[in-house]
Amino acid sequence: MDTRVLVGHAVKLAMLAVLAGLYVTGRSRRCYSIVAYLWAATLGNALTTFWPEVFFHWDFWVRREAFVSILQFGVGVEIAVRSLRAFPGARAAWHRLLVASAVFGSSLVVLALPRGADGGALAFPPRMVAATVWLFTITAMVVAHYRIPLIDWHRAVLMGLTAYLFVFTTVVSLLAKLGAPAFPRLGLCDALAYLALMGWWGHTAWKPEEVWDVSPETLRVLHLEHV
Amino acid sequence: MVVWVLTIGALSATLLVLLGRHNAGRIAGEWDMMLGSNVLQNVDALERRCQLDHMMADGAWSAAQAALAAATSSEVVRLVDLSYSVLEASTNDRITRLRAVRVCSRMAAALVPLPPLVPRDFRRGELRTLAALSSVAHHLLVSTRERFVMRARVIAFGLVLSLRAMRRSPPSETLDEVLSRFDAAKADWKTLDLAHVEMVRALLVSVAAVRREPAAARS
Repeated sequence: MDTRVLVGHAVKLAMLAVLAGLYVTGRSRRCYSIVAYLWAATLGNALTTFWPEVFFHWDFWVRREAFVSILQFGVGVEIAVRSLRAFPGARAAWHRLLVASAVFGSSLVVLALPRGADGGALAFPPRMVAATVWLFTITAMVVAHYRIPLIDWHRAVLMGLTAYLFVFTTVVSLLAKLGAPAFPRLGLCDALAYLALMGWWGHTAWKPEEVWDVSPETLRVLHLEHV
Repeated sequence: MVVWVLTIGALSATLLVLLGRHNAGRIAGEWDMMLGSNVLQNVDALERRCQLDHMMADGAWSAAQAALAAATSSEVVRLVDLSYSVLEASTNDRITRLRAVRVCSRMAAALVPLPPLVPRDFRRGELRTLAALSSVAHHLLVSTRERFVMRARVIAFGLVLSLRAMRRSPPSETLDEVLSRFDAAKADWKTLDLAHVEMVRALLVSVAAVRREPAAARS
């Protein structure tokens, strides 16, 4: 069997293990969009690995990544909203940063996006990835500045997805330079990085939630009750 | 494309550093200290501790005065040194707490406004000048939080200045003059110490009041 298909099956199993962990420990209620993202990614993976003759090609990959990028952005929004909902000052700062970023970011996108025939298909994923990573970074800055307690699952999602997205962007960048012939090898690198991400998320999803030495009243006020 | 990779790499590194150092348990503990039911007891305990420090320093100072009356200058120096040691150890504690107060002031959505330091509350000229300057800056700053942070910085700096004034002993000064300066600096130090307790109380009350509002509305 092709190595890429094997890795694809391993990723699928890892994603199902993450989902099972989220449902069993109740963490699925901590962030609904990550659950939607994982289901979408599992479905995309299944289509590619079970019916490679139909779905294992360039056009489907680009469209799938574009869809998944939108879901990743949604994950960032939901984690920020959930983490900051009990902190009005931090939430206001996050809103201000987001509006400022939207203004500057949209200008940068127009200026920095690659032009030409090859840039068209590959233009959307880096654009969404940059927006997503920027959103995650804004959230992390607000969390650090305002000293917001971030639950372990949200922290793992933000850190893991950001690290993976950097690998993904590098892969897409190389694809744009080397063209479709490099797709199999670079696709394998991307899949291996994704497998590592799922391994970390699986570990976090299954382990018991951290118990803090904090009164139940404080946990309730901060919306940090255990699930 | 290279621009994208570099941008995303820089953002990713920033996020990984920020969240890699994130200790949710410790931060939740800080919130608990400020939101828990025993907030006011914590402030009262801090106030008692500060009073104890004052009493220790004053006790050594009174003994030094008695020794001066008995004309035993070596004993006077030893007792004044003892009084200074108490205040020196306490100053480090106060400066650390004031730094924490500055950081934790970000946690409050709104802060109790505090008045600026008043120059006439201080006996030494440098502290009076510092208080006057901070009073002017207080009126120039816009937000309550900026004023709060500046007040914490001024108090910390004032504590260091007071301590330095206690430590100094120019050869030209007589023992009476040194003791008089020490007494004035000690009085200023105590004034600043009380202002520091007031800041802690204001911060805890501010954070707790804002957090409890929605909880009270729900119940």
